[in-house]
Amino acid sequence: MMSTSRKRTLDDDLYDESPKHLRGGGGGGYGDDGDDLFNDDDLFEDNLVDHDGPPEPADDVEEDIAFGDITDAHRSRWTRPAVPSSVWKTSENDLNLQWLDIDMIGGSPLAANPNKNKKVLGASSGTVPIIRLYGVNETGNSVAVFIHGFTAYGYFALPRGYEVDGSDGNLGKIRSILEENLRAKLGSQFDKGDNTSNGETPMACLGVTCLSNKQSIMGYDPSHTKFLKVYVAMPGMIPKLKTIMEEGITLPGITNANGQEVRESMIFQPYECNVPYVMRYMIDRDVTGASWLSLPKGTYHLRKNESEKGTHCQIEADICFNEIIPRKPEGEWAKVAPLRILSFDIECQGRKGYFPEAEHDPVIQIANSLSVYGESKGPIVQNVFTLGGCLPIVGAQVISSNTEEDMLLKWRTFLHASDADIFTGYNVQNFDIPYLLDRAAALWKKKDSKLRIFTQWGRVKNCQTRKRETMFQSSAYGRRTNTETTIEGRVIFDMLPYMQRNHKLSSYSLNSVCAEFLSQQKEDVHHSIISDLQNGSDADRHRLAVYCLKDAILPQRLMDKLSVLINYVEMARVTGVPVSFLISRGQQIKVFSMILRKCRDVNLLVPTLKKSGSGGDEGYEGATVLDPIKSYYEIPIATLDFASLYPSIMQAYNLCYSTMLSPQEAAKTDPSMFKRSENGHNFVHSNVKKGILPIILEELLAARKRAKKDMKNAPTEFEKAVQNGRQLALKVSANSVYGFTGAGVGQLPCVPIASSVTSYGRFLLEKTKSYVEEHYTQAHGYEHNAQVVYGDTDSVMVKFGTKTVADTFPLAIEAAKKCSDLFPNPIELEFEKVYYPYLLMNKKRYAGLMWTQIEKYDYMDTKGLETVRRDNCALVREVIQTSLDKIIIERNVPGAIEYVKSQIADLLQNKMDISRLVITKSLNKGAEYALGLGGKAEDYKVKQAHVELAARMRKRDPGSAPQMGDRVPYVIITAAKGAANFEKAEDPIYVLENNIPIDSKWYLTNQLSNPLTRIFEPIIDNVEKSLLQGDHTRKIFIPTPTAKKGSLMMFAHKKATCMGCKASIGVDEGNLCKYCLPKEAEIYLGKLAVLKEAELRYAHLWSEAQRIHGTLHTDIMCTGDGCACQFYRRKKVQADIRLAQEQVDRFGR
Amino acid sequence: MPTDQSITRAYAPYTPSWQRFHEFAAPLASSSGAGSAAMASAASQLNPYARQYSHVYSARLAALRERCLANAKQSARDEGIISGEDDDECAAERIIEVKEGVWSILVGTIVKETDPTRRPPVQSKYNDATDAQSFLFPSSDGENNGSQMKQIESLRSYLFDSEKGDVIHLEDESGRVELAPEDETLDAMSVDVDGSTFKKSNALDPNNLATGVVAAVVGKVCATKGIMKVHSIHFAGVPLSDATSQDAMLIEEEEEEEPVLLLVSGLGCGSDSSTDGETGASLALRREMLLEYLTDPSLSNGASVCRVIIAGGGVSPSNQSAGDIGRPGGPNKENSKKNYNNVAKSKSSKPSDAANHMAFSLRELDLYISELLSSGIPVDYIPGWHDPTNANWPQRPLHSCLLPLSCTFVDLFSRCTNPYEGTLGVARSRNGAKNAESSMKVLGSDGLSVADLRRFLSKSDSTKDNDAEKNDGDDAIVSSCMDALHQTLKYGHMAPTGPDSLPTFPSSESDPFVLSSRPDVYFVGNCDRFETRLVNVNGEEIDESGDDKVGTCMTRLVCVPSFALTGEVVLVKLKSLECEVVSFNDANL
Repeated sequence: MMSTSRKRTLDDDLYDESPKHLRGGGGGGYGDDGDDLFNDDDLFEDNLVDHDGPPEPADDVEEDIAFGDITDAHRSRWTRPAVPSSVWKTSENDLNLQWLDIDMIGGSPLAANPNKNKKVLGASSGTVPIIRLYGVNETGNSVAVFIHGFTAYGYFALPRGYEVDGSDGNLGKIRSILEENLRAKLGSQFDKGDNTSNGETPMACLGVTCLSNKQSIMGYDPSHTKFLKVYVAMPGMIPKLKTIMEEGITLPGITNANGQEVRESMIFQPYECNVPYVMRYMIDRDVTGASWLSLPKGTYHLRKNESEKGTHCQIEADICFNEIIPRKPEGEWAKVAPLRILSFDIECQGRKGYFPEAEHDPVIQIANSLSVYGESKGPIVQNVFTLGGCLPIVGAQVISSNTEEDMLLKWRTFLHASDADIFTGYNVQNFDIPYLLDRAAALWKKKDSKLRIFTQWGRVKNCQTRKRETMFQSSAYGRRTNTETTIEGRVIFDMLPYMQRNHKLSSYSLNSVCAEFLSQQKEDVHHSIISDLQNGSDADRHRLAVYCLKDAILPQRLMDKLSVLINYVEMARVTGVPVSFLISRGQQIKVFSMILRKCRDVNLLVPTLKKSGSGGDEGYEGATVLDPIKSYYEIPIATLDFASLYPSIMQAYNLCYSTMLSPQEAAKTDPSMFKRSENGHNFVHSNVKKGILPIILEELLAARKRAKKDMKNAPTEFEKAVQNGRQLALKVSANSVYGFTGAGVGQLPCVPIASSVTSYGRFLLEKTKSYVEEHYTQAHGYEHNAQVVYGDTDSVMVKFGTKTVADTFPLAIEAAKKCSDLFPNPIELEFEKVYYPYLLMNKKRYAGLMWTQIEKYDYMDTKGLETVRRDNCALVREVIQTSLDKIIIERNVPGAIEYVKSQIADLLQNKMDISRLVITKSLNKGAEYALGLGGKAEDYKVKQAHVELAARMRKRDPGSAPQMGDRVPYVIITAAKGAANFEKAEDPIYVLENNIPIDSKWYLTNQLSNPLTRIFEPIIDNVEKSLLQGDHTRKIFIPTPTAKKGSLMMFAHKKATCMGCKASIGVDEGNLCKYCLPKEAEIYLGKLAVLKEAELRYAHLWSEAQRIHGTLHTDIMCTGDGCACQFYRRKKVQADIRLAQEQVDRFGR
Repeated sequence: MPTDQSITRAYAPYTPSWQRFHEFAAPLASSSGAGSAAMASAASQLNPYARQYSHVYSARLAALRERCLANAKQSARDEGIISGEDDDECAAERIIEVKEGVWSILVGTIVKETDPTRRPPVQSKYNDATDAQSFLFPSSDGENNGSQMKQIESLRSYLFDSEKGDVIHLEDESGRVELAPEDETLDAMSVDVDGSTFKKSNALDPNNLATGVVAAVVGKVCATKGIMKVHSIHFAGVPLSDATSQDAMLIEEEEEEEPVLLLVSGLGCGSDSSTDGETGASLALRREMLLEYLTDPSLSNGASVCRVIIAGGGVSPSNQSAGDIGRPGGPNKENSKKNYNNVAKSKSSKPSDAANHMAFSLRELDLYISELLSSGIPVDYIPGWHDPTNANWPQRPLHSCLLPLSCTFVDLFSRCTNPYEGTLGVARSRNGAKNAESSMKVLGSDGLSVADLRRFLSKSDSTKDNDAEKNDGDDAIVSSCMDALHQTLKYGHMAPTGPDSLPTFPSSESDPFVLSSRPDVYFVGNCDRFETRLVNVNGEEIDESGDDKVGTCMTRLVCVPSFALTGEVVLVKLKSLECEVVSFNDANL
């Protein structure tokens, strides 16, 4: 209990370094374009002022409550394998584990080193930081390692030319001055918790050393070469110390260049003070993320008694920090431990018209799927916890409860027993987890105090799960609020943000994502139905449970299918950061980690720069784009690519912090030692001083080459996936180095480097273009004059004039080689593919059939086209896709034109399937105001079509109207001239039922016109005239709307007409006029054909929908957003068939 | 035609009962005309097409459940798997209530789930009727150039293949359970020569199953994967009809002329071409010969025909050449369907040749039927797939305006639904003088249900059907029409593949196609060749030459060949249920 009890006393005291801070970060969020902030300074400062979370509960909480219906059979399937007895023989066996999560707490120092031959390291009194590391051993047991004795420190540079007296006496003086200052800064906070048993006054500043073998990374001839390394008691003190040193302080024993002692206050530049404590440890001990660690026999102590243990892990070890052996992820240690992954999903019973709120709406089901990594047989446990009875589900455990409290507690019991390493799910991070926490808090407040323990999900005993809101802003993703949750020892890996970050899709609903990657559909149960099902019978709840279970299983399948876990593990190993950093932070931390590691090897130090308030990035010129020669090329166009252009530029020209020369220095330096970059910055040659960044890149790219080779030779599919994950991780990491130097608000921005990189890029591109165009000419004996038709960042498209792919390949290969020879190593121009044919529409907008071998094309490659954008209707996507297919693959331009014309004609004649015209947008924040649900007027300034429609639908029928968070489908209908767009939006179902005319002109001009023009512009002249106007647009059809209240049709009087010629006839004259009567059979046949077609369509669509949803005996409830079951067509055919039947029935029998 | 008025035509009193189908074919709700908004919304409430198909399956399961269960219990008791007392216990009320690891009987609807990637995708084009067509009849790709091989190939790819990941489920309202053979020796079993016949026919053989069939399954659910290991499968079968007809089957030898039912399908009126590819006989000429056969007593025994049933295909399918029609085989039939639909499609926009063709064909058909009628023979017309009526089963009778001449014979001509059902009374004299009457139930359809079912039943090699040898090669993988027809009798359902692949009306209260009593004559039209089979109460085939048929209650199964294809009609003697084929072509005359 030592560490936990200690921790509890510290909880009131502000030195507690709760793990939350580790992950939280200031604005750490998603963003790979480098504009995210991760304010480690803020992070540390936070610690000293931010008192977090609810207080720990008292000790009297019983651990697991026994539940009658959770049987031993259940438990035996849930729990981890038993710990082999060999583990307990600590003096005979090494303990190996793959670690996943890391955090830090404050605690008391070890009484004795578990390694009996050595003494205790670090501070011996006061509160010391203890690192907790969580992982899994080879046999699948969970392990927690408490690492002791690692002391936090920071570097502070002496200004250039100054020296410090490095004698022990002087350093002792410095220490006590710093101690004094620190205490003053910390104020009463420090003393408060100072009640340690031995009565000693703990120190804040533990020691100072003086270093002269280190250099600053900044500049070829760095200004800082002398450093003070200051150790402090707790990591949280470093930012304070940094402030003290930056503000200026008078220290003894400092002499200036002339050897005179300096008496006045001086500023010491802080170095590496922004490195999070655990990362500091990892870097110093060469521990990389998710790697294997060995605790050698005899060096560690296992906590055997339950009372001793601070966590729920099966094995708990204490060790001194320097005893652990980190394993390089190679050979045997490249494996992945049998990690346990829990995927879950909850259902709540929302009230009609509101998004579920934890305050009011109960959680009714929790479905779980637990699997073990590397076990191919699928999940080891699937179960559902339900509120209220539920019929059994074949192949899954169903555990029912009568009260919500019971259900939640049972689920927690499961959580503990299953002891998962990774939590996953779909949008669990922002919905399921916070909802459960909030719900428990709400219930707890009301009555049930037992629920206080519900939120203990982590591995640390008696520790609540905490969450906090973070705001994240990025130019790429816009503003979003995220909830970050800390569950000690477990990693939350939400699949939704992963998909959003890594795959460009038109919809990110679980349904459509699974359709895309797993070719699997799930039934979309609308949340209004969920409530009804819950209130129904056991069979209804069974149905809901099956649905819920599927929601839990699918994210896991997705994870497996996309090798997500292995990719992240590899990324963590390559970049050296914990896996959780990869999930919750941007790209910068990875590069930062790599730079720090590399610098440590070569005795360089990284300065902690002050944040330049407004970002301070004077923009620099980015990549260049050669002007495209827009056309439809029916001959092969070869694409020459620079392989990893930016990384190789940095290598080739030795661009780095440590190789940069200021203009003044350059003037004094031998010109043969450096090279002036294209935009006027100077970097020394690599033979003078090799830069850190080039070294990092070199290693990354070399490792990638090895990984690619290993991938080819991999004996198993599994191994292949591992190596592929590795090479991808390496590639991404190499590319992010450039971004790191260019990020305005980064850790170590350096515009000269970034701008030099892009200027070299431009230079290389231009040079390639001019070389190819000069060399491949008829004058040089080639058949045609080559022409560069387009170039972008790192690729040029060359028209060699050859007519076939086979002729183009040799030329392109030769050109690539010759150009590569012009450029310094390792810049290499590669020939990868030929586009044939190639439709070049504009900058960054093209399509072509890609050939990487002569025999057969690979696929159609498109860039920058509307095919995936979701805010267009399906018609646009289909028309664009089909036209491109016809143009590019079939090479049938007339066919494409005909197709487009026929589609436009269909649109104007109202023959278009309404589902292709539906546009969907979701009701997001701000819409509450318009819907009358509260909210603020300023959140809803511009009237949006879908929000206005939702408000109108609410007036019509509050029950079925879309609710907050729903996606609202709409179509644009005809309305009074000059009506705004938002007035013309209408519910597709309503349109179908009332036969309301669609505004086909709007679709033509606002949806189809632009993309079509773009595609056809390079092919035909005057697209506007020939495609969008013309004969095929003359014939239009506008249906007569069904009479409805308030519409003009109310005043129309309906008269009986002849079914043949529409002449009006008397009411009692039957259905045909006297002229049409002889043609009765013919007219009947016509009407019959319509009915027959509609009947067939009905039969086809509905039976197909049954097949898709895998049910014959229950009605399909799917409302079809993103589902293949053709909701609108099914609705439409029901209306069609009714009309057709009425028509036929008028003829009698 | 010179008709001798003095001939006496055989007579059988007729009671139609096909009207029960008509309720489904032309639902009452739709008879309300386009009215005010209020009316329209009321109509939409009643619109049967606002329903989904799930009700069809529910009604079907409800109707067949007990029969399947009884058969399964009987068999399980016979095998000693369950004892008499606990059989109620092992029969789970709902699928999800099944207990793991013990013998249990489950009743549900079979779902044959094929891999979605091998399923043709839903076309996104609206207003194109061919998409539904191409899915329903996948063999019809490539209009006229689709070679036989290609069609067979596409059929083969559609067939169930567990190696490609296809699975069979059993479903009821509560959910699904996957079915798997009891052990891995399924293949070995079919190789077994003796003693295995019983087992084989009952084990989980995908070739005996189609989506929509209701079955009882005996087996055990294995706990870990939740899969039902199937020991045997039992279908509903057909219950005995009322007792009267039973002893009536004890027929004494009588020399009195027996009334005969004439079954014909595929008259093919309006076919442009004059000659048939195979025989050289003109189709029109053949029709004349048939007419003569029926009306001229001097020529043959045509006077014994008491009723003619035309089972679909009265008009030729659009402007297809006769050569195409003449091609044998089921797939060909489907091939022509698509063309019809093209007609339908083009008609809806503008009257075309196809429309004219249809009008012409109908006139010819009308004329022909009226000639038949004028000789005093009652005619029942069952519309078929190509005929101008609606698509969903049950199909409506042809509209009166399409056959104006025939419709004047109010007493003799009946326009029926597809499927058809009626009862013919047969006068019998027993013990010399006493006259008694017994009724023969006649049930049949144009054949689409069986054609559709055939696509899911592949022929297993060891069937006792001798025709397999005749027909090796091309369509050997598809089970014969007769096998499929016989199978529907075992299923206790006329059209089990509807609504899954056969277009069907979404009925809700009851499933009209459930066989609730045993028909005496059960036929389908538009087959590629004539086949017949006599079946006893247990649904097993009877050797016609043997004597054992006496005293049993039998059903005569008939596959009526397409007249346009073969020139053949089928005669069924109503007392003895003897069946013969009459061929009309040059060789006969």
